[in-house]
Amino acid sequence: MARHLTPPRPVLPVALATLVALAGLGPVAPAVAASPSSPSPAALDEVRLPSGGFVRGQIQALMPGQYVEIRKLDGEIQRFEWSEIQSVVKADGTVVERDSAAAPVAQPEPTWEPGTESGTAGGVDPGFGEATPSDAGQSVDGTASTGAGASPGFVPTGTPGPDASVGPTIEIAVDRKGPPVSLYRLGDSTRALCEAPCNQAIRPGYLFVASSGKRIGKGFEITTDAPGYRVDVKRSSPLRKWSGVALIPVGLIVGIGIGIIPALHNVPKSKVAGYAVGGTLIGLAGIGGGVTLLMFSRSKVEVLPQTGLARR
Amino acid sequence: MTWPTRRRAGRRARALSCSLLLAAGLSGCDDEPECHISAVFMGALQGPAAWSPTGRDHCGFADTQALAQDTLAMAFVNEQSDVGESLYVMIEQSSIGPGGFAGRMIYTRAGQVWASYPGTCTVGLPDFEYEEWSLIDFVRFEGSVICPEPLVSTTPDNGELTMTNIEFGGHVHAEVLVYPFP
Repeated sequence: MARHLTPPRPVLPVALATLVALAGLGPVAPAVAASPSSPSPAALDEVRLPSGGFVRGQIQALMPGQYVEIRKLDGEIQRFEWSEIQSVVKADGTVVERDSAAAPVAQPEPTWEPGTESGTAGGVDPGFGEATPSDAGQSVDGTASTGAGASPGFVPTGTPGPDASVGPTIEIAVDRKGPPVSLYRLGDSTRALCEAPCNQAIRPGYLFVASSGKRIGKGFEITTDAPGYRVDVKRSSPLRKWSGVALIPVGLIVGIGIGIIPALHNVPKSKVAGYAVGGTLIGLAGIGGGVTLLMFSRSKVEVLPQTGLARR
Repeated sequence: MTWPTRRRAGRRARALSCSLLLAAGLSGCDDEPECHISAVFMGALQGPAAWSPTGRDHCGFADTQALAQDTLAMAFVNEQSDVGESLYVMIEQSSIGPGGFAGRMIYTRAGQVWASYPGTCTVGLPDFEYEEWSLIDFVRFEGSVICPEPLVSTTPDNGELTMTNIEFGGHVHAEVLVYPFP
């Protein structure tokens, strides 16, 4: 369910991020050689291949020395034999190298916290797909893959949850041409998640869109209630804005001018009321038209859940 | 800016705004007084005379305090005349309305004046309507004058002037203007 928000308060996201980060330290498995590392840019799990490629998504099953299964952002699950991978990099930065793997350890399902990047939802899902060369190098969430920051250590995933997907697919539709429109997560305006038309799966949370460094419309929340969301972005219109700004005083001046004509010009008294009414109507029309133009000149973001959208 | 220049600018602004209003279909803006009078002259002058002046300087009520008390005068100044020509229909009333009144006629031309004796003419005003306007009210009227006796010149050498078929009308300001009576 999309929900419009008031301007973000910086305290809450920081507190949530701190809590989630602390919670994420709990399920570290001592049986696996793991060590913290810098999180990947997209805060997704990553299976790195010997060829240098990688596949990003959410780890569904990790059996060190046997296989690893990862659900990609399009919902497809791929299975890699242990010999096919180079390493597994968890979203929190822990790394499991192929050669250091021992035995698989099941972990409880972590919970996702809205507005954070570190939450994951894991689980085993049958019907694994096989890795193909074309899958290598897949990048989601609008971030570039660096392949750096790997180190030993990994937090295995737990049992399947009710929502094992990465998140709903976001489609951004912009009403007219202009500077690129990008999607950002509230509290992190330095990193664009994707650029219009996006068409990528985005982890649930509080988001907003911006263009040329300026935020467009209000922030909104996406959840896993819908398989996808369409974000209609309406750019601001300077022509309408300044037309409205001009129309208001012009309407007022003309309306007042017509209203006071009987005081400046000699007109039949039977028509004085007509001048007053006409002046008032013209003034009100100018104000109303100007305000309407101003309202329609503002940028606007409308988020529509796509109930019938098939996850790719 | 000097006063005449400012006055001209003000008139231009008023004319412009009024033109815009008229173009927008808002009629009745700053109507100018207009009037008409016709008569047939005999005696010192011969032939018909008729003119239809416009403007408050040529149509309207004149101040007659210099001539007589309790008298109203409707002035018709021929703006087209090169020598200066005007007719005054005077009513011996302090107020005016529909009806018939005793009055007199005064005719001026080229500085010469012909006038009937007071109360010798009959002024009929069958149509007389008072109109309220926002700044200066108007009067719309139609009437005629019967002068059975000729008008007498103020200079003995010019002779008498008989006027017949005197008809007049107009749409003038309902206020007495300070008028340069001859």
